[in-house]
Amino acid sequence: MQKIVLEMDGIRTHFPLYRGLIVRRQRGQVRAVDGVSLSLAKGEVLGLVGESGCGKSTLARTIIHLAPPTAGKLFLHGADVTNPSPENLAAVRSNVQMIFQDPYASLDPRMTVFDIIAEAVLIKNRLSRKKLTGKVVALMEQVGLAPEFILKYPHEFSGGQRQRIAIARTLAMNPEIIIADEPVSALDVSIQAQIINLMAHLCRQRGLAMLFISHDLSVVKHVSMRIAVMYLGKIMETGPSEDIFAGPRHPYTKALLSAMPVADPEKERSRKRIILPGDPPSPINPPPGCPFHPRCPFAQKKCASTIPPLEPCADKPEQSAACVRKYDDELTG
Amino acid sequence: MPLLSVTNLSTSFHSRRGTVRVVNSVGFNIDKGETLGIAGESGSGKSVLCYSLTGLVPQPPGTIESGEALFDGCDLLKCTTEKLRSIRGNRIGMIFQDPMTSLNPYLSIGSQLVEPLTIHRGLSKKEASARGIDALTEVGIQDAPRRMRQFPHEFSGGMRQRVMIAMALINNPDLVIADEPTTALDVTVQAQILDLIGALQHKHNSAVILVTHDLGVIAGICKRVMIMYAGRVLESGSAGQVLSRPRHPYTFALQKSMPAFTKRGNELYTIPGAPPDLSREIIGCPFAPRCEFKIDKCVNGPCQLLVHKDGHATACVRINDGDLLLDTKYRAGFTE
Repeated sequence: MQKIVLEMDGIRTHFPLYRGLIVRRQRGQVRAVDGVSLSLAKGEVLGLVGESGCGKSTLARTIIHLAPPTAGKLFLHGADVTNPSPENLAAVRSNVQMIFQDPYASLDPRMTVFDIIAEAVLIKNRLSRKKLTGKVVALMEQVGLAPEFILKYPHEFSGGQRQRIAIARTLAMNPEIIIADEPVSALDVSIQAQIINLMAHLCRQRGLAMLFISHDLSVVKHVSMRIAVMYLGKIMETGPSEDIFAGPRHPYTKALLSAMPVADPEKERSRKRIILPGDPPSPINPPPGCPFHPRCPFAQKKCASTIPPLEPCADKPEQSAACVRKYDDELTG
Repeated sequence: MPLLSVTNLSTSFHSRRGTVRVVNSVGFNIDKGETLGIAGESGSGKSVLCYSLTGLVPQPPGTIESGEALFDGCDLLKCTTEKLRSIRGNRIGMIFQDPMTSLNPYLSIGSQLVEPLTIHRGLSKKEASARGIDALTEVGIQDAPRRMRQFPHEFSGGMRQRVMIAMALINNPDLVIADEPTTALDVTVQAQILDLIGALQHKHNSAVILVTHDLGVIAGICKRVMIMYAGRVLESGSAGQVLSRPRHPYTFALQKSMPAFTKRGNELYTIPGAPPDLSREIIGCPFAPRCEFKIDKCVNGPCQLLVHKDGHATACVRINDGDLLLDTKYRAGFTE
C-alpha cells in the first residue's frame, strides 16, 4: 500500500439555516456532508460520484477550507489540519489544488493567460520577469497550450483550452493532491477525452493524488482506481473501481450503474434498468435510518430505523458498503 | 406520407465576420410515432435546425436561406406567422434544454402549463386547470393541485423538466422536438425522464425528434439516428446501423473517444484539431482535416450524403466509393 497523503475522518459540514427578519434564530441546518471518512494515497485517483446535491462539491470545498468542517478530522501527511492557523492554511492550500467545473467562470476575464498562471507561480517563489515568463511557458507547454497564446484573454479560448489553463494554474503550485470538481462535465465528448488524457498523464508523471468528482460514471470508471459513491452527505459504497462496476453491493450504486446509458442499441435495449422513483430527499431533514431507503427498490422494514454503517464486506475486504442487505442474493445477484 | 419532411434546409447567421452557415442542406423525414435522434458536438447546428423548423431563429441576424419543411402539407418555413402559431404548441410541442431558464420565474407553474390549452383549444380557465392537474399527474408529479400554484423555483431540476414535458405534450401534439432534454440532469433523473418521454410517446403516438450529444441516450430510445457535423448530416440510418456499424469516420471517432470504449488506464482516443470555421466555405468533406482516413479526394472532391441500399446513408466519399471499410478491420480492437 502506498503512503496515505490525505485522510478524512468523520467529516461533517453543516450549514446553519436562519429564519426571521428581526430576531434571527437558527432553524435547523443543511447536512451537506454528514460523516465522511476517506483516504487518498500517493499517486492514487479516487473517483467520487453521486447526484447533484449529494455533497460532493461541499466535501471538496471542505478539504481546502473553503467551507470549514463542523466536526471530524482532516489529516494531511498525518498532520492534523482540521483547524489550521493562517500560515498552515496557506501551506495546505498550496499542497492541495482544485480544478473547478466551469472553466468559463473560474478564470478572471480581465487577466491574460500569463497573469493567471504567473499569479500562482509568484506565490511559491519570487522570480525575475524573464525567469517567470520561462516558467509560465514551460507550464503552458506541459498542458498542451502553444506559447504564443500567452498574452490572450480567457474569452479567446474554447472550453477545453480554458480547462487547460486552469490545470496549468494548479500545476504552478507544485501540489501533491489535486481535487478536480467535475472537470470535464462542461465539455464535448471529443474534448473531454483530451482533458482526461492530459490529467491522467500529469498524475502518472508527477505522482499526484487526485480526488476526481463527477456524476458521469463512464468517466469515473476510466480514470479512477478507487471509487466512492455518495448520497445525501454520506458515503454509500467504496472500493476498487473494477469491483464496484462488476459487483456493486449497495442498491444505490446498482441504480446509478443501471441508469448509465450504453451507446450500443442492442445491449441498451435488452438490459434491465432500475428506475429510481422521485428525487433525493432534502439534506435539511434527512429520512431516519438509511438515507436511501425511501427510494430503494430493495428496502425492508429495518432500513427505516437503523443507519447501516459503512463496513468492509466479509468476502471482499477492499470493498465497503453501507447497506443492511449487502450479502443478500436478491440484491447482489 | 411522412409526418414531417425536411429537404435542403440551410440557415445562416450574418455577423461582422461574414455569413456563418450553421445549417447546411439538411434533409430528413419522420413518420408518425417514430423517434429520430440527432447527435453531434456543440456547434454542429443541431439546435439551430430545431429552431429553424419552429420559426424560433431570430431574423435578423439569422436567415433561412433555402429549404422546405412540409408538416402535414404545410411548409413550416414559408407559412404565415399566424399559421405557424396555430401549429406551434398545438401540433408541435417543444422541450428545451435547460429547465432552469425555460420556465418563466414570475408565473406560477399552473398558469404556464395551461397556456397552450386556453390559446389553442379555447378552454375556460377552470377546464384548463383540471386538464393541467391531470397532465402533471401523468408526468409523475405528486400533489398536483398544490403544485399548480407553486412557482418554478420551488421545483427541482428534474421536476421542472417534467413540467416542460407536460407542457409540450398537453395538446397531444403529433410531433415533439426535444432539444437536449436531459443534458442538465443527473443520470438517475435522466433515466426517469427518457422513460417518461417514451411512455407518453407510445400513449399518444407522437413522433419525437431527440437532439442530444450523448450517443448512449440515442441508443436507448431512438429508432433512427442522424449524425451532424459543421451544419451537415454526415451519416443517417437506423440506430443499429449507425451505432453498431458506423459508416462515417466521424461517428467512429466519436465512439472511440467515449471512455466506455477504452480499457481503463489506456489513453483515450482524441480527435485532433478543432471543428471548422463555418464562416468560410468548405470544399470537400468538412471532417477531412481531422479524419484519420483522409486522402486527397476527401479534401478536394465533392462530398454528398449518399443513401445505400439498406437505407444507411453516409457522406464519406471513401466509404461511398467502396475503398474504406470501418466495421471489420478497424473496429476489431475495441469492444467493451
